[in-house]
Amino acid sequence: MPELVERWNKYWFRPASLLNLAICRILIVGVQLSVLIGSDYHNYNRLYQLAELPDNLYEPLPVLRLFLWPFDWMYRPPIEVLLAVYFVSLIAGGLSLVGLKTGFSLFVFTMSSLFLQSFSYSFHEYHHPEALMMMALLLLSLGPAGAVLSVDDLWQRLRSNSAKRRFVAGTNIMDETNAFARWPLLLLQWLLALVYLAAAGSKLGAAGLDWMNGYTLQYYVLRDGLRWSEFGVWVAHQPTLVLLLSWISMLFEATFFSVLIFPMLACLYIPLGLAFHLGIYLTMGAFFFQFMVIYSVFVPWTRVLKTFSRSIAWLRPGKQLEIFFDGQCPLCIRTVTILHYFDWFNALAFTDLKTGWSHLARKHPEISLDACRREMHLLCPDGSVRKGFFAFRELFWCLLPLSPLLIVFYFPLASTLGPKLYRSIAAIRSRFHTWTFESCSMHCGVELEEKPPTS
Amino acid sequence: MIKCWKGRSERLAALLTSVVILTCLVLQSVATFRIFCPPINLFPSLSSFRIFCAPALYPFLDYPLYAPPHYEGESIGQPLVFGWSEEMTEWPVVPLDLGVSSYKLERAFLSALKGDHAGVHKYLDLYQQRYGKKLVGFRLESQSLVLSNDGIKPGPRTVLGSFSVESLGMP
Repeated sequence: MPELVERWNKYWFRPASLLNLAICRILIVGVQLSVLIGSDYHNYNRLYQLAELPDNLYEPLPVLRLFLWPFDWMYRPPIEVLLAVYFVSLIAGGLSLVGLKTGFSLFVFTMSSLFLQSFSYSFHEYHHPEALMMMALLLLSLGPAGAVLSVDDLWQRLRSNSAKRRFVAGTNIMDETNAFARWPLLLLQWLLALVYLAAAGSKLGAAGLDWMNGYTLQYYVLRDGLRWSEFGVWVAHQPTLVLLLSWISMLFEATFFSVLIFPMLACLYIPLGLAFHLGIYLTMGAFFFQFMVIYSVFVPWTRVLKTFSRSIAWLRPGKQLEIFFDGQCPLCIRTVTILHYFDWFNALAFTDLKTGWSHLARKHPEISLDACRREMHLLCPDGSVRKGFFAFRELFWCLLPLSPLLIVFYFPLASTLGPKLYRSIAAIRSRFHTWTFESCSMHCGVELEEKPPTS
Repeated sequence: MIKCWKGRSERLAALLTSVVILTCLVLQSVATFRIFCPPINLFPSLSSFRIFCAPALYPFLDYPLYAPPHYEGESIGQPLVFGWSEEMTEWPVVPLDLGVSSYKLERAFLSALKGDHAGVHKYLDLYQQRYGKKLVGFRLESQSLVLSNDGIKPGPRTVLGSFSVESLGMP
């Protein structure tokens, strides 16, 4: 028995990358939010439609009854309650997407989504794509999904450096692991495998091998294609192709669980699964987008990102970009803490002026210490120096998660307005301080060597 | 136990998490293998065991979509709508021309046959706005499409019903 427990724990609670879980959180929550906002079948208009349905159609699902247990067994929440839950869901979803109070907000998002979904399916009609999404949200909310890549984590690091009154790099989030980071993703993989097994079992139970006779799939593709997709009608007219697709579909669904035994097979099954669901959508109009996003739980994101970083290493010069910052300035410490947080590939080196000024001054005697205090300076591997706005623009090329901001940095007139904005913020940076150093170099001066060393 | 677990609280968390894992696996397995919902056509005597049929365990569901078999010679009816003007000129009303799916158009006209004219009114207005043609009547037909070894073959066409715009209560 102890050996069994040991095996169980090793399987479910082996330390795993927190980044994998965090990326899945962002993708899954992002999709659920977009469904709640954008889908005609899930947005608030749908709630109005449901509210107008007659009471005799209403039969609450057991899970909805759990939510409504303090009320009557057949209590039907009014539209005001539904709308309130809907908007709470949107707020909680937004917070869990960015990772603010992640544990709580994700749990609220899960419960409110499940409430709305189960209410929507309490009128004698239900659909399948959302069920696994509800499970995914629930499992993410029970795991440490906000431990990294979240406002919570970044805030904690900022507070820690503020308390220390110096910049301490901390662990790269790519290397952060936790014993509870693996089980939510692994359990979702199991649930997905069971779902496909259920689908294959139903087909084989109802039709046996006849399901792969070609005519069965031809029938369904034609029937749904006539309603939703001309492409589906075209496919139905290709008997050999339909026969082949019947076999591929059945083999895919019936053997999907093998990914759990041989994880390397994910390289085959995940692209196949994406093609499978995309094919169903294009030919039959049934969109299992939620399933496609849940496939993200099979992707070893940390390993993929590290491999990606190595594969694009040739694009970058061998050395790191070196940022010189004023280690006496709270705003500068916050800024480099944030930059370091997103420096997943260790492309940046952070040097406090107090310790690194002589190094910079030796290479660039034309740069003064005052200038360095006024604007952040960046030493590029080719020896050139960028400062202020242009330093940020240069280093954002190396920070993958922040790289979308480059659009703003290269916007028309950005080169003119950006430096002015930067200087005006730098000039009033003392106003951003919630704490001050007694020895702050901006205001009290620091005993640094102004002149570059002559040796 | 894993060595990195530091204290009692983490062991307790692992224990509770294990309960969650087992519960989820058991519930999904019950739904997957329909343990408490044996198919009534296969096991009629076990109908008293049909306790947790979908969606009773929602969000744990079975997935019996597109399961029944179909064979060569079976057919599917493709609904076709034809409209005619005062001059008795007739032409097909194509869903794409109205910017709607075949399914929506089909449902609207099938509902009209049963006396619910609301959907048809909408499409009649849309048609007249788009093409400036005043339609005075409609006919709904079903074109049979037969599954065959050589692909889909057209079968017989049947008229499901026809009605005039006046009978819909429209001006």
